Amino acid sequence: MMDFQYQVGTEVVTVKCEPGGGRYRITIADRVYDVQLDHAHSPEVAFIVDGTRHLAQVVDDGTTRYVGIDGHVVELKKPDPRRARNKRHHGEDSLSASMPGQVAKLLVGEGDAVERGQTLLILEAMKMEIKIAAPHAGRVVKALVRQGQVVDRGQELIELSHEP
Amino acid sequence: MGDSIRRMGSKTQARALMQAAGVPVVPGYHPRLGGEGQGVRDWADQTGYPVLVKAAAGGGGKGMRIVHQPDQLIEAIEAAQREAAKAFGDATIFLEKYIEGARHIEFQVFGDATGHVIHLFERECSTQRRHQKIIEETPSPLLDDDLRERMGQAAVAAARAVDYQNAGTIEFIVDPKTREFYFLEMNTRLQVEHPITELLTGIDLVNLQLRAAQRQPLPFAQADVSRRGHAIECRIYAEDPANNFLPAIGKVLLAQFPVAPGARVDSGLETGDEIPIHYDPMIAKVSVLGEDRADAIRKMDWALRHTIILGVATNIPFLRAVLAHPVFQHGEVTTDFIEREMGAWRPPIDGGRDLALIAAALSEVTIQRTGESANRMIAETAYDPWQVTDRFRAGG
Repeated sequence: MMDFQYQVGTEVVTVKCEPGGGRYRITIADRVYDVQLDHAHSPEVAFIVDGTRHLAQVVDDGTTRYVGIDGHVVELKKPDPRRARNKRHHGEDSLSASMPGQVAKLLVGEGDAVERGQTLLILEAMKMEIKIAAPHAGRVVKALVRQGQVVDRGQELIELSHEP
Repeated sequence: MGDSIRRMGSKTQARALMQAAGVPVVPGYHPRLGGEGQGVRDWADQTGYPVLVKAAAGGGGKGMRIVHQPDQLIEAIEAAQREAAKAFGDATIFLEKYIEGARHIEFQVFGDATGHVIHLFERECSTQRRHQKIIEETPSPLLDDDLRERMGQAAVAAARAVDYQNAGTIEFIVDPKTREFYFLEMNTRLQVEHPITELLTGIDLVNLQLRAAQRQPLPFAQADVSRRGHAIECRIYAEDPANNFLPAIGKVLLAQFPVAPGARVDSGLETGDEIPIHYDPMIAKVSVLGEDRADAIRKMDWALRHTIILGVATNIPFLRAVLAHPVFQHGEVTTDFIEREMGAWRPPIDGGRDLALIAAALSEVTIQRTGESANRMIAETAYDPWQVTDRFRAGG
């Protein structure tokens, strides 16, 4: 019996896998599948469940397993127990990049008072511009990036306080 | 030829030329650079909102804005000028009446050095997201023989008006309610969506271009150009449908494309490639030729299921949802369809989830085998006549 854990979206799922007689009994939550392995040569895995053959491609980049199956792509992450969410404190928010890209324009500086909806920064990628706007009125505590800097998706850009 | 490109390259000049050649154009306005104010407001008020702001040197929807309210007009013009300057090095923009519920239908034309100009039928390009074509097909489900004939003639007249040589495209918008058509612009180049014309007519456009460059006459006449079946192209973009279609970048851990009769893939993408932030997000074009439209849609869905790109998000799930939508199935897509009917679309959360978990677990079980059994699997593969493609291993 082998157990594997994956994070799908925000949910952590345990997959129990019991080999026996050339087949696998695979349990996901309360669902039990009787699976026959057809072949597996990386990145391809073919198997039969309930009389239907499925061909999947499975690849890995160290933190995420990407599975292409029946026209879908499913991302399975390694569960990270340290994943601390909601790390906001003292009424401060940090605005993060909604896409990877380059900071085309940084329109505010430390200490600036901003209005709700004001454009703080323009991010550019693949010839497309998106505006990062203030979600609420407040004051710029710190700009965490420079103009021209290339940022990753999710990277924090600007710290914004609620205080005027 | 350089002159035709210049004349058609500026959308504003092209409009004037087309009017002179008797090709219908959409009512429009050309503001002066800088200092624009009352004139453009008056024109927009008279024409009626919404109006469209476009880059004169533009293409691909860059620098284009739909303006619904008078108070958004000036801001939209300025934003379009900035975007146009950045994308094309030319901030010139112009305005047009926005025809709501319109179809975008274009004609492939070809001219040679002797002044012989033909068309190679239409391409329906109404399926657009953010003014960017995502699915093209030919023939257009809207056209009948009469309208096709008239639009084809107008397209040829448009190309003749600039002594056009080589491959070009005359774009029209068609109001499906009145079945009136208007010249939109000419693209003086081979376009992204040319594969469907090649599939439909069996004519190699690039070959014709090379012949034209050698000043050879067209090897056939209009009457010799025929079409068979129905062709569809889907553009694959590195955009994440789960993140509001924003650009996706990173390493492509696996890229596999469909191989089948009547399927064509135009792509340079390979497993291991890096998709950077600096280029357009289009990474591949998948096209199919079917016996008829229903067959082509089925084949396209099959082809998309077999286009497997892992590691970087793509719009493939969205393309498949569009193909399955009743409006697309009925051939009634207008240029505002995606925003109107599919704006709230989100990728299915549990699409194939349990099967993916099974696949992942099985791959871990099999990878954990000893080196000996891994070798045995490779030996089996070598003798399998059905596994003739190259076997690659992402990450070694």
